[in-house]
Amino acid sequence: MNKTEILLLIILLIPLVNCLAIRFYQNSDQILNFLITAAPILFLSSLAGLYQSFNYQEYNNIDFIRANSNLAISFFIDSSNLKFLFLFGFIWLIFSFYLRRFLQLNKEIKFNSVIQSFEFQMFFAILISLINFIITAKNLLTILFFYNCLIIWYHFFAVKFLYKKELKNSGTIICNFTLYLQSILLFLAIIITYKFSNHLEFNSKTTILANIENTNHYLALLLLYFASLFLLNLFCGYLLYRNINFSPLEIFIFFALGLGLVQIFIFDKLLTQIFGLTMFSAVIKAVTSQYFYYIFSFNMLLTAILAIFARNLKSSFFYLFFNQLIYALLVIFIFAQAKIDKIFMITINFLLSQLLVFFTLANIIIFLKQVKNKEITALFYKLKITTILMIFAFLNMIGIVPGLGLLEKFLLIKTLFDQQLSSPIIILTCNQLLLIIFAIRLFHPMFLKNNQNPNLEQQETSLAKDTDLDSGLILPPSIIALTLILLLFFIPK
Amino acid sequence: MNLISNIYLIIFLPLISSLCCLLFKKKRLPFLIALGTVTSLLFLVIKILPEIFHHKIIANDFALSAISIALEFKLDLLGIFFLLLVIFTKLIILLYYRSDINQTLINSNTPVFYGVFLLHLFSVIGIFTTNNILNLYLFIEIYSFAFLANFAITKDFNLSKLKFRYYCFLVTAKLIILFAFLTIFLSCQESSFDKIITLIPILSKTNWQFLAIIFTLISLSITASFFPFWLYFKKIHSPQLIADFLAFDTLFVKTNIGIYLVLRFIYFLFGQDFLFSTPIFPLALGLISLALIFYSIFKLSNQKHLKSIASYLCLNNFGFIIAAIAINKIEALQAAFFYIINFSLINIFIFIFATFLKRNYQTSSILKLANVRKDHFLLILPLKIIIFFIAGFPLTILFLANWHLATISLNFGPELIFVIALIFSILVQMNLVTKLIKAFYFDQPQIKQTKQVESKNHFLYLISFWIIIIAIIYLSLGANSLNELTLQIANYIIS
Repeated sequence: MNKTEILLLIILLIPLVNCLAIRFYQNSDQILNFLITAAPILFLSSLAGLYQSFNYQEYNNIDFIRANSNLAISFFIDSSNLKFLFLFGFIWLIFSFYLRRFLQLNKEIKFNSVIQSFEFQMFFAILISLINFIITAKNLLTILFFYNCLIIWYHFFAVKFLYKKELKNSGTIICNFTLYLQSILLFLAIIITYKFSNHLEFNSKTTILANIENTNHYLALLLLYFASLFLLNLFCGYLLYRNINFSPLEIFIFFALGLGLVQIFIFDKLLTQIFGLTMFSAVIKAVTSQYFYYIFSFNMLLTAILAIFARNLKSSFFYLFFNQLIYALLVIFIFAQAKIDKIFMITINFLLSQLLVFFTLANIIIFLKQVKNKEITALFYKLKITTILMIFAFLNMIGIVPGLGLLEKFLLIKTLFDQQLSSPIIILTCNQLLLIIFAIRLFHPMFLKNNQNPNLEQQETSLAKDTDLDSGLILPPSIIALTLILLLFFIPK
Repeated sequence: MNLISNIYLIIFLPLISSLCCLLFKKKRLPFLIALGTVTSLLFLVIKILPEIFHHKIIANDFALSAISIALEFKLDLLGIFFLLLVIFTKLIILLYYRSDINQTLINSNTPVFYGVFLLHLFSVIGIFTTNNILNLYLFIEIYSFAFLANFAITKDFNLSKLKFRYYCFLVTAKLIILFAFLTIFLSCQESSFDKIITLIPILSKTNWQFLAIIFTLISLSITASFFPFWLYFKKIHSPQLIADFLAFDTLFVKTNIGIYLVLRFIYFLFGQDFLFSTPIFPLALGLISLALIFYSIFKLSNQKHLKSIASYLCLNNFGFIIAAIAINKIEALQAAFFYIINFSLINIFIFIFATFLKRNYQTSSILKLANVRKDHFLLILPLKIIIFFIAGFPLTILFLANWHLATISLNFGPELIFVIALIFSILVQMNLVTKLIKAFYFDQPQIKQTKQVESKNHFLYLISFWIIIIAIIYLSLGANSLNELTLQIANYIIS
């Protein structure tokens, strides 16, 4: 084993050891808090070491189980997954800082009765491990293995953190069923890939399906992969959740973000290392991309409308999450059609924007939970920093503040005009308009002033100050906002 | 000791030990003799395994007479594979049901029981090592006798009724087998499998209808004798301790012998040229397999009892084994062997866990799992691990089976139907996994705390569970060797 492989092994083991340590020290809050912060720091420092020792010419991989030359559970490192690992490590670190305080408050104010600190940390640590394994997977089988684990883990999450009545809800059952179907479709897609190419391992020099000549076979396989990743998202899976009480929404979104990252990462692998951008672009242009646009636009616009007319704050943010996920996929699709590899940039923007939105939303919910007045009216005057950060997140999503969102929109518009793609221009414009309407509907009451009992108002102001100036709650979203601005200058290079 | 001596030791050791059990009757001695014999057999089989894989066939043929009993043998890749599986199963049965057997038997019966148990093992080894159809008949006869003798120890009226019905069934089936074997012997003037298979093409040209009738008769009698699933399903909820032991033997040992005989007759007696030259045989197998698969899927979707789950999973695996035989290609046969391993390890584990639940929590319902989780971490841990294997995660035994079957069936041909069956099957298995997860982590308020597992049984349960789980993990980690092993056997059979 060379130095890079040892570091890769350490990177694979850190989240796993973290899980075991959390299980072992579940009764000691101090050690748990230390572990939550130390693990991502250790992970990032090992990653930095790996980055230094990483040699593009060498072949760095670890085989865990191997059935034959093609069937194996193995991990590797290349420039593409190194980038994703850094992003993942950064999000993990930021998230850990937030999680410490979030769970502490959860305990103090009984913010959410279903969450138990240790159980959630354990759940989160295992989720981190699974994502880490998927990012470092060397072949499609390894991805399938951990994708299945993630789906099972999703079900475990539903059992553990959602309410019993929600589990009996037919929507949740169909949703689980669809996720299982997705994993079976991925299994079939991998088998067909194997039949065509006779190998399943990623290689930076060639794509796995380089030798497919028949366009119809290529398109059919692409559709199969597409369904295996996004069947639930693109066939209105989010509607299945309409009757669910989103009390533990923040937790659900933390999980959904993880799943979103995994899906986008696999999509990236699909475009760059399985199908190849050149071939993908040629096939999509030759056959038709219209059907894909219809599916994307229908889902995107539907989620935007549902977000605007949702019953409560949490539901509207739930639909907003799906809207942004579908938006990110559509943008990746457009760039890939134009043979531009900007998947990483879109992933960063999507993940950081969503994380910022939900950190700020969680702050608002923590505050509202403690006060008698549950309305968001005049919230801006109480939670100034939180509201400003949330506004920044929305403006970044719309693309009108200097942030990564702006760069993404600029490149997108340039590509759309270069490629003369008219229908996506209309779809994306409509979506951005709906997003603006949603933002106005959301922020308008926050800037209104209400007449409240002065004593009550003073009490609320003091509570708001505690929440708004709580470093554990406000520092992570601030860092994310700053990163979104800074990335504007670094990413183009 | 050389290879030949080792094989003779494997054949005769259970017979000698059976006598010893009847001679040394003191306290736990019969059990210890049985345990020592089965463990030694397992080690001996593992020891000779590499050599068998190297030579493919080890035979000792003196051309003595039509019936030579166990003096002549032929141990090939197929035989050693099943021998290993059945001896492992016997070891588990012996350990796990020790307390049940003790509770059911009166002291004077114990040596007889273990003596018969070893005689039963002797007959099974005989079936796997013989190359002579008349010897095979003799071993099947000893096997049936030993099975019925085990049955006889129960005092339960319903089980006795069942025993009698099964006995009648078995007698008819064995008479048909004898008739078929004698007809083959008289037609070919040979009793050796190797010689008969060379004469079958000539016979099929002159009188294929006669051969088809003989084949149908043998198939029917083997189905009746070795796949009596009805026997198991009928007594699945019997409160009798010994009923589980018998159900285990019926479901796992008998079925494995049945599958071995099916493969032996198809590939080493009648031959592929005769059976697969027309589409009738593969079509019939395909239809049977689909019926079994979809029936098991339908039944599995609403089962809550681990015992029923284990049995329908067995049916499901069995369906896919038949499907793989119907496809008749190397990769399909490789899949069949993976399904057989899955059948003999994963399903056995679920089954014995079900009996554990029934012993200690009065029912094998999965709703009791939350209680077990609270009471016994080490006992529930193997079941948690096995979830990955039930769901067929990549590089688990079930996954490799599904992989090989799907790879060969994903063509624009009639085999594609098996892929559809596979999709439904995986969905049901995933659903089963979610049920198990729910049962683990949702404490059921309506369940009262029942009696704790007795500590004296605790140890044997623990050992049995962990032996199986270690074997399963070992095989999954050594997926490369396992893949190579199944490939070699499949190649050997097809060639």
